[in-house]
Amino acid sequence: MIDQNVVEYIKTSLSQGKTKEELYKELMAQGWTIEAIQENFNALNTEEEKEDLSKKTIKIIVTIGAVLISAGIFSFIAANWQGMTRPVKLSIILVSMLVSYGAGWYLKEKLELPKTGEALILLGSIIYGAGIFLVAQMFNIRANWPDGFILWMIGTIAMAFAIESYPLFYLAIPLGIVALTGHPFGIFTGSGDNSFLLTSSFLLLASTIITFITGWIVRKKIPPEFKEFY
Amino acid sequence: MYIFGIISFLFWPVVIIGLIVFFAKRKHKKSRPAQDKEWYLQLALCKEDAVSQLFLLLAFFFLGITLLAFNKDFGDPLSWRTILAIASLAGLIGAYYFKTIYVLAFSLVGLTSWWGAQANFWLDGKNIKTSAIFAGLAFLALMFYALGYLHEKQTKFKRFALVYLILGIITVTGSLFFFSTQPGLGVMGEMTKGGSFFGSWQLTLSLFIFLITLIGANLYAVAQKLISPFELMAALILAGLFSLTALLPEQKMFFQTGNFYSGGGLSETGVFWALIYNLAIFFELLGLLFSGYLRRETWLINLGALFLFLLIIVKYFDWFFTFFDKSIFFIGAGILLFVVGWFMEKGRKYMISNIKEQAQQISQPHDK
Repeated sequence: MIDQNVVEYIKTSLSQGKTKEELYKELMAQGWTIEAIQENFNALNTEEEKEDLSKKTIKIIVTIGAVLISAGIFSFIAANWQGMTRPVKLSIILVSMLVSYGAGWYLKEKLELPKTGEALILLGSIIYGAGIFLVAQMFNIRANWPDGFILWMIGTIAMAFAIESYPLFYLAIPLGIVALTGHPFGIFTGSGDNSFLLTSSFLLLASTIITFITGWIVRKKIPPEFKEFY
Repeated sequence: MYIFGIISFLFWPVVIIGLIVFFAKRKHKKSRPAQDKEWYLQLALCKEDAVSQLFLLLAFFFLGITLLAFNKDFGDPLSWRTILAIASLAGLIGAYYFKTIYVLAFSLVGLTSWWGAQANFWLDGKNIKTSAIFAGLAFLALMFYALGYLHEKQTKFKRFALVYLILGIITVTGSLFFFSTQPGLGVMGEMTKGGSFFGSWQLTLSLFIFLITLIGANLYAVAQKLISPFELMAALILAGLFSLTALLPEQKMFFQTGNFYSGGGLSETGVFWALIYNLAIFFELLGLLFSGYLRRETWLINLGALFLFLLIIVKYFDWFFTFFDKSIFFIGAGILLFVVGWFMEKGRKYMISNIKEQAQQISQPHDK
């Protein structure tokens, strides 16, 4: 028999640090049977699952929103690129990136809307990456194209640490894979541009160190309940 | 257009990583390791585990590419094989230090590939049969199998055990399967051409070390009761078969020029080896199922059943596609699928329910 008062009591007590055993003892002393207590615990789990599902839905919706907006921005820039002057192009990139980051931070930290906020920050990171390539194209920078992805990955990792956002880590991983896949072609076939001095090699070294440290730091954050398995 | 190029280039990596993260998170939601007996089958135990493992994997890949890039900048003082060995060894050390299975899997593949490439380099310019390289790789795979069970002793290394086991099983099964087909027999015929591998001391020494380690690891695993004598016997028989392949004189597998593309049928030698390898793969897969049943490992039963299913289907196509009328062939294939499916479902159900029943009997208190 599920009693909403008991479910609430269990929820509050657990959040106050009481153990399951203590709660069982207390409720049994009040005349509840083990089966009834178990049912109420199960009801609490179901509630949490529902809450999780609802959070996930929000996350998916706002992430799709971020992707759609970035696609729209890219398509607008691509359509009007030739007609814009360099300062306008740079301003569009910088302003849109800063606005997304700023709005995302405000929503996440001030208005306590973490999902929407993180989605906007994700949008900012996508604009940041697009900005790298657009600037390189604008100023005809001589570099190997996978270097752009390395710079994008490094920036995304920095932002992920700054706001402790896992979606940004998820974005950084495929960016690293693209850079990893692209570089050997240049090395083995000699088709890569002869970039300024050893820039590519040093960028690769930097990415080795950064990804290693990132993996190490994130590994240290594994919850203690999993420690016995490592 | 440029942006669309980048987006299309990003598509597959994003999809693959997304799937890994999705399955990692899905598994995590379904069960907590402390309450799940088969926790070690999960790709990642939590999101931190998934992300850190992927970043560490990226770091070791970047290490290899960085070394390649600096090597090129300084005029190629090292060969790409040496760089592969350095990156893979660093990966292996990192995998054990951080207990990351993704890095472990790629490091083991990297080290095995390094040995294969290096062995090929040792044979360069010498008229030595390449079947010895195949034997060396097969020894490594059998070694992985024994090492897998040796890792099962500690909870912290249970996931490592799975990596070693799966790599070992897939390589051995894949090799046996390949050599049981016509193209495989053709390759085997080509591999046995040339002089004995004793002509290269490096190759001879490597094979000797691999064989000794393989036998030692298997005997130690039996002594520790980690594998059964039946599994030891199977490993030794397979090692014997692969050793024999390395020692064989030139084999003419086909009539006419000995080239399987010429359309000539299998020679008597070819038929003999086809029979040996077909029987070997069939019994290896049965052994895998049996081993899964004895160990009460549902993943091993499922893997064995999947491989057996694939083997039956591929062999049906291989043997009967040209002989039968197409309509009879397809009807036969349909009936075969139903029969195999029925047997597999029944057999798998029977094995898994037996395992569950036994587990329940053990966990129930003896109230008399």
